[in-house]
Amino acid sequence: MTPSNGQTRAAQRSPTTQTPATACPIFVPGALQRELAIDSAIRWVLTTIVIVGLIAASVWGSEESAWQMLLIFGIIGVWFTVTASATRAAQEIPKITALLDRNLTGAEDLLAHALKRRHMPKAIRLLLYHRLAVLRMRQGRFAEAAVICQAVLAQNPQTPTRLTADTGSSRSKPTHLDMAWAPHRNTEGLRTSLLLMLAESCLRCQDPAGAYMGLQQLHRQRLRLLDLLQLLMLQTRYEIATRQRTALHRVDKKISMAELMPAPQCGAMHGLLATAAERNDQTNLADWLWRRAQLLCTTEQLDALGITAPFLQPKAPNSAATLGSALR
Amino acid sequence: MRPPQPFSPPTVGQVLTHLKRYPAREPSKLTAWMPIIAMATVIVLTMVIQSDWVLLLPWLTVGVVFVLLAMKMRNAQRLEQRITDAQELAMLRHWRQSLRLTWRLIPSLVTQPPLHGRAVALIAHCLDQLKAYDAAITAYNHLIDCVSAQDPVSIQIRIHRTIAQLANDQLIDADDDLRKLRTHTDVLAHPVIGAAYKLAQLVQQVRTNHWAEAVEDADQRIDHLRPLGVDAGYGYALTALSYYKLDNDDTAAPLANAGLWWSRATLLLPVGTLVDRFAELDQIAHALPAQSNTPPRLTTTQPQSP
Repeated sequence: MTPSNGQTRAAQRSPTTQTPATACPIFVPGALQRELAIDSAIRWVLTTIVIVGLIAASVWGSEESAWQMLLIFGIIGVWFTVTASATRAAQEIPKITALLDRNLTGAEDLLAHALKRRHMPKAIRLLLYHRLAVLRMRQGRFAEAAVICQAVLAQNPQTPTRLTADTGSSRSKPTHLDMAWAPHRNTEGLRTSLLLMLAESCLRCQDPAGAYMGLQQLHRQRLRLLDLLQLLMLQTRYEIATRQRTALHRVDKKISMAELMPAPQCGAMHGLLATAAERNDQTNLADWLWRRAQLLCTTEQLDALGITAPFLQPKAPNSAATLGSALR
Repeated sequence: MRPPQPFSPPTVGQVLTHLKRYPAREPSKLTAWMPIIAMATVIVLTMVIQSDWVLLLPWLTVGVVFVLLAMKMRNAQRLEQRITDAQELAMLRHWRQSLRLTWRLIPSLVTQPPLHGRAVALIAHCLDQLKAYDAAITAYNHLIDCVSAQDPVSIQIRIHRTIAQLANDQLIDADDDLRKLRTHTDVLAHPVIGAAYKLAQLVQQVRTNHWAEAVEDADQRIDHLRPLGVDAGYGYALTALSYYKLDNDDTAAPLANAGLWWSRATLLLPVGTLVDRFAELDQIAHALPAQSNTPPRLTTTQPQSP
């Protein structure tokens, strides 16, 4: 995947103008794998030291009591230092999440510090990388966000084959990653979030094949209503981008669902469906959808969602003002 | 078998009693310290009692503490999921089901103030939509008392309460609230909160028959109300009504404008929904032509799903 398209647009649209004191380096696919391997190695070394130390303490116990105490305190000290580092990283996650909404520079700074820590549980490291993907999405660096999402998702080799409630089947046995993430957040929610980001970033990078992979896996997830709405939006964008006729399938249902979205997304969805209707010579439907879209969002909002060009350009007026005057 | 009772939303008294009986409270500090107290007690016991089996006690305590913490966490996750279920029902406009579920959840949320707050907000919203305005205002009041006055959430709730008060003919209270809300310019700059405030102002102008004031900034109305999504249709319908009421003017402009705004309103929301929320719209519903808010049928064969 080439970062050129997404990143160029990203640089123009990035909400932050300041450079963070410590920036996260550009993510390369092998980085996460390497860090997890180092974490695992440190964990094994520490466990071995603790076991050997305990055995040594019990062997020397009867004669060298001062050595024994020193050894036990040493083991406890090392253990506490390592756990404290992991705990601090875990405590920073809520702060990073809060900063992602209002100060991307601060969030990147904090993330860079947190990711530099050596040895932390796998679940915490994956959560930090999830936040990094969110940050890159907000910064408009979609190509990098997609790579991060793929790397984190790759750490969960078993794709859960759960089915929706109406089929009556139960979900698969939770994977080890499910168990690791469980204390921090609903695992399905995190996986869904990664897949949604993957699909969106691929669409923004003009990579329909990558988006398809994400969408396909999302269809196997048990989704909440808000996730379903996002999926609907992404799938419609995918269908429009790949010029599929299915975009207008059950259009009335899609419009009812779109009405549950926030106004800009609702308007965007109408715009997308209008484009599909125009392509399929459904002029009445296209006109009806355009009139609604114009009441629901501005062209600037469509642009911020990254769906203005090229398919919405011919019909949408250039600014909110002209759009408003077109309505009057 | 008895026939099912017709649904009636809870009364003011019932809402008050329910919220007083199950108020949100911070988790007790004693509970938070309990694992440490238990561990300390066990360590002292192992030092005092010289017996082999006592050495097992610290490990047993650690095990019990871990199991209890895991159960507590799982329970919190389950409750959060239930609240999300109720919110989804409300999003899908199943007000009764959402209200019933949230009402039953309140007793189990007392030790979790954030979830309790979400539940009360949901109850207030459902009651508002079910037109049980008195009860909704009671629930809104409860929430406003719990949140800081400067908090954007508090301001949003106050705007909703104002709209409920206007629907309930509590015009003086609503006027007072709107005047106080005007000072929070920074919060009102938020698109959705600002749009809700503009809608509340418009409802007040219509309820107090200030038709000319209601159409004063009509040229900016779409920009003001757009963040509300399809609910902006209520504002457009009230603008149409205001123009319609100004129709005793000599010019034909007001009626033409009323028709334009009514078409915008009905493009977003069905006439029945508009009239159901604001009964005064009934008079223009018969007088002005409405747009269809359902999509036109596809003219050729529909594409098949893969």
